Amino acid sequence: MSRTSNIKIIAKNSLGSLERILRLVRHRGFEVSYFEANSYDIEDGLAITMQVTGERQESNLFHQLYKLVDVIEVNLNSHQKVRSCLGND
Amino acid sequence: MLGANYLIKVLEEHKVDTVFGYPGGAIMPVYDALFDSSIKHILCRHEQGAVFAADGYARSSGKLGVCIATSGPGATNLLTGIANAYLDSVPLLAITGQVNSDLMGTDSFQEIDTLGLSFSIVKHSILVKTIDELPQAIYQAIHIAQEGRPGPVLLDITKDVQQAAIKRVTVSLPVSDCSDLDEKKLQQAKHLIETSSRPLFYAGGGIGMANASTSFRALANKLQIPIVTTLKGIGSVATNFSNNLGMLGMHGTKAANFAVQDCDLLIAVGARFDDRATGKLDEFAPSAKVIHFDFDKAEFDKLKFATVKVTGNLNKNLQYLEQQINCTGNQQWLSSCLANKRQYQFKYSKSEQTICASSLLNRLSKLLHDKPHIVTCDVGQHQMWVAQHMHFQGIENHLSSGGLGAMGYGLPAAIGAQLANKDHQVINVSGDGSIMMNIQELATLIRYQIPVKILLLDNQRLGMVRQWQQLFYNNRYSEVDLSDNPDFTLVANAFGIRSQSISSGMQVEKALQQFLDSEKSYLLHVSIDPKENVWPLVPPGKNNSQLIEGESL
Repeated sequence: MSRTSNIKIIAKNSLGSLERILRLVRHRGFEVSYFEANSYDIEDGLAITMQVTGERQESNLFHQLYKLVDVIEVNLNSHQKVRSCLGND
Repeated sequence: MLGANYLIKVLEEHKVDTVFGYPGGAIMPVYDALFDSSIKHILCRHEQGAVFAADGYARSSGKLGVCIATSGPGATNLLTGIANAYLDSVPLLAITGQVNSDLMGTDSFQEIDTLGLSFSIVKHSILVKTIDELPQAIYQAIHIAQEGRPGPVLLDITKDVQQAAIKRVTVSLPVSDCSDLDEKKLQQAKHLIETSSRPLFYAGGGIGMANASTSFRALANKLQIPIVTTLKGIGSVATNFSNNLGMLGMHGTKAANFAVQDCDLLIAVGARFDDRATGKLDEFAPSAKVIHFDFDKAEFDKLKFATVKVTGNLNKNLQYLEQQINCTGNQQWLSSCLANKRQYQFKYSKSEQTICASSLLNRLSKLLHDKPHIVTCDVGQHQMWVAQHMHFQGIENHLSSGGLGAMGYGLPAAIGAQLANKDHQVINVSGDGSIMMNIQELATLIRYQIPVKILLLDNQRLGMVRQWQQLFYNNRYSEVDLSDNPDFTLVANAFGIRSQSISSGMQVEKALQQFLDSEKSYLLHVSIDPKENVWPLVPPGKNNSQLIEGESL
């Protein structure tokens, strides 16, 4: 059964960082239904808001996104959050 | 100092002593810098050979593997090897030249969007377009490739950056994760182990990556719990360790697969529930709770739910458990698993007429037993026969393309492994399909006098595909006939490599001795029956207890 999830990401605005995030979402079995990216108030930062739909565990997408080197923070459905250093889930 | 010289200087600082590559236009400044450096460059004859060699170097030594190529075709030829390192978590730095930054995006000569091509097959990739970015990019790439779960990092450097003078060097690296032991999770794991009736270790390649074989062996020895291994986990405990039931999965042993189906607690250690290991996932370890040890949290619950998930330093986690647990496993369960191991152990026949691949490999393994050695494989039937019938003392002694399953891996990987382990006998077991994928690397063996031995099992077929066409496609043999293979002994000789061909059982013993006694590279060509299959086999869509067996020839 498909589920819709809201994801907020803070990422470095490095070459290709947006492509990496979108590629990963597709490859891990989710479709993007909403996407917004704005500059963030840290140097070279991006604040991304996404709505994705998929049948797989959203927690897996969450951890895969966090593995991307450019990703600083992932916030899933406003309740599951990882920031800066591994260890919180 | 120019950017290219700076790159080489940083590699030297990181104790990189050997790199593998192939020069070309957009990487020429780096090759010019290499000319005066202490780093030994191995000129492979194809970029794919270079990246597989760097992979073999890294896997067999635990050090960073480094490969270099030019832009365009140089970079695209690296991609298969980078993907291979990604799926098997190998610490690899791939350095590619890129056209001048002002030419990027104009479809100039040998220009391709290497960064864009890399995204799905790297741990990270960096395109360097200005000289000021270069120092941070190099240090970051080397760090990322080796920290945590290792993986390949691509560093794509434009030619103008390679030729520009370094102006300022500012580097900052993230602090590696050094989180404390999660004692709560470890206590939960301890409780599950102590209260289970039929616990089983499921040991994967992560044990090798974490350099945790010693800790794992100590724990396994203390707990007396039976062990099954993945393809990459072979050697995490010695093949002949009493409680090792062998490899699980599609071509796993009966004892291993039956144990997985019967266990009530599966302790996955650095393993990722790959489909070749699990068979039908819904029916994999159906009665078992799962404890999952993995550095990478993204592996948790990806395919199989784990009751207890333990991340962080695997060595420390295993050592903690070993100190905390005093009970030993259920003796009755262990005995039952070991009875299966005895009952279903592989049997080796001797024939004076034909050569049975499994018997030959088992014999080779016995001859190698007391010598330090590394075996690299290609992909196909021979790869599974090596996994089933050869014995390994350490995880770094068996190099196989596990995740990607890339034919052509074995010969260049053996070159890398031999250069990293000069005191080891390095043997590439290959097939007649696979060897042709990177046969040009025979020239590399000769150029550098690398004494790799090649055992070529020739069934004049793409044997694994043929086996599947026989079993699952109604004997419709589509494009698997390789009976027009060249004379491989002549091919070897043409490169300056000694060779011999055998086709009967009577020739095996003497030929293997000559093969092993040769001080130089040597190719032993072995004709085997095209109808020989790999058994047992778990058919697609079946669970691991529904394995089938046919007759061995």
